[in-house]
Amino acid sequence: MKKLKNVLLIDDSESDNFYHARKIKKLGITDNIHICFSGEEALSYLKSELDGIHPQPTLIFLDINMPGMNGWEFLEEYEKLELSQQGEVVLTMLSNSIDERDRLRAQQFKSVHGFYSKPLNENYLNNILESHFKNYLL
Amino acid sequence: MKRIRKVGLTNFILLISSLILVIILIGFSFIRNATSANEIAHTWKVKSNISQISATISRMESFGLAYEATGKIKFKQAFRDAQEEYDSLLTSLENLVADNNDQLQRINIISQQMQGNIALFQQKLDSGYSLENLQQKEIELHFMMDVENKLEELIAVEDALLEERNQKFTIWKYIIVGALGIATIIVFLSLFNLIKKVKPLIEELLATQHELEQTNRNMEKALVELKILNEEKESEILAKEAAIGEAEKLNESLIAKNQQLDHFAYVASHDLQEPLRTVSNYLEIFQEDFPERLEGEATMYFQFINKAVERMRNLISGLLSFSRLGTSGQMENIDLNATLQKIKDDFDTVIEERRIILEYETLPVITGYRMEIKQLFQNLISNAIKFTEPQTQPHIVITFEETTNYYNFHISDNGIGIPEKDFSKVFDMFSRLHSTKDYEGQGIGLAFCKKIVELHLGNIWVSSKFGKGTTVHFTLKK
Repeated sequence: MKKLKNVLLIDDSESDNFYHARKIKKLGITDNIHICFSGEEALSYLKSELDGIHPQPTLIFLDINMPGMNGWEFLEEYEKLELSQQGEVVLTMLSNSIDERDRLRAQQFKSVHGFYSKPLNENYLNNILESHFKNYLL
Repeated sequence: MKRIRKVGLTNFILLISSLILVIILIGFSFIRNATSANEIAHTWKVKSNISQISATISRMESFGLAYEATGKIKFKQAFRDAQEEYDSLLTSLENLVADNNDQLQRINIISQQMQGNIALFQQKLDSGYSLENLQQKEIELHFMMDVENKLEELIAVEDALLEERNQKFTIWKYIIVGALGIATIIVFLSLFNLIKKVKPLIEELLATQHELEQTNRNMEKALVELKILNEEKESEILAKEAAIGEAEKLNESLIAKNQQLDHFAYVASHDLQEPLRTVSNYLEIFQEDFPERLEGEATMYFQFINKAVERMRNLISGLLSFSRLGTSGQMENIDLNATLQKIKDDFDTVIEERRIILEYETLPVITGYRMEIKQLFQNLISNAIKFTEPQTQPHIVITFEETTNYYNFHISDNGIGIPEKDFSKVFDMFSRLHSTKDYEGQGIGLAFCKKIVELHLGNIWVSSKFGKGTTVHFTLKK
């Protein structure tokens, strides 16, 4: 099984980030997990260059409720980025919210490909791999 | 009206005829009276003329005798004057009695006699006046002797005529007075008759007028009463409107409060979830990373902690769902038969296991929130199953009736029942009548039902015979 190049977690909760990172690592789908604690931080990370290349994470998990720039505001800015700066494949919302309105709002953004409530678990991850990263499972 | 015209016409004709008769009679009597008076006057004139003639003849006699005796020329002259007067009087008398032949004849006799006498006297005078003659001859009356009688006869005739005319005049007077009397009586009678006949009509009219006035007064009274009633009604309506306005205000503030409460419940439960999840997450990690530490009593402690976390998660998610009720969609038409079929499908396993009888007639199509309505029926059916003794075959009956504004539903079971003192308590949030050991649950099912029913502007209540079964009644506004 091929591993994902890079996974980005955007969440202000340290405990959640730790837990989610642990779940991802445990499933062994990537060796490279980057954590940002706010929308601003995530944006500047995406715009950053290393040897002329943007990070372009393969998979992004985004929380909604964050101090400062929240998930929605981040999405507005994210969709204005150059393609080379955006995530490679998928952006997934990961939230406390079970509110149907939040789910509907998330669907308005074309870069959003999933909406799950916390905590991240094996089922979710398998589901994501199944629908977006079939070739990695081989 | 016809009657009035008939009575009026007959009497009117009678009255007018009588009046015309009276006028004619009066006119006739005037004419008759005048004629009679003229005739009497005429007779008197004739009589006076005859008297004058008689007097003139007397004068002629006197002057004639005087001249005979004295031979004086002045007496002769006087005699001539008297004679002339006699002639003219005689002519006028002849004219006056021209219509009476008897009298005219008598006058002619007198006239001829007088002419004879005058001629004799003239002869005497012409033969010459002498004293001897006078002495030889006896002095005689020339005119008076035979004429006087005739004249008296004339007067007697005229007197008789006068008498007759006077009588006639009196008779006519009586006739006229009598006729006038009769006419007056007729007039009075017809008037009386008219009054007699008109009187009941007038009385009737007066009575009708009185009645009309009474009715009018009554109507006015009724009108005033109506007005008062109207005013009362208006003030009532105003008061009601004011009350409605206040109720609406209260309702609005209640809705606002409820929304605030829902929002609070949402935010609270949402935010409570996060630390709880962290607790649960790290319990999991701890158990994974340090299994060797969980020996003996520590395992039991962790089991309690895990159960408490689980229960709290359920409570919080229940609260969260509760606050979200009615926000999932729009009101729509729901075929309850389809809803019930879905519920039956969901409960397929348990229905088979416990051989549940679920009876319902054809249910209506209602307007409501689809998810919530399904949850309402689902909660009530699952309660009915849950609170039936395991050894009893559950028998659930759903009935309904329709009123103008509501559908009234009744869901009955043969379960354990509810004591009467707890009838309202069962709808409280997190309220439970049994320990978790006997009957699992968070105590939110009926609270959900209550909120859903209220969302559809209805009411929910229970009736139950403890130990025999329960019926949940609820109404949904159309």
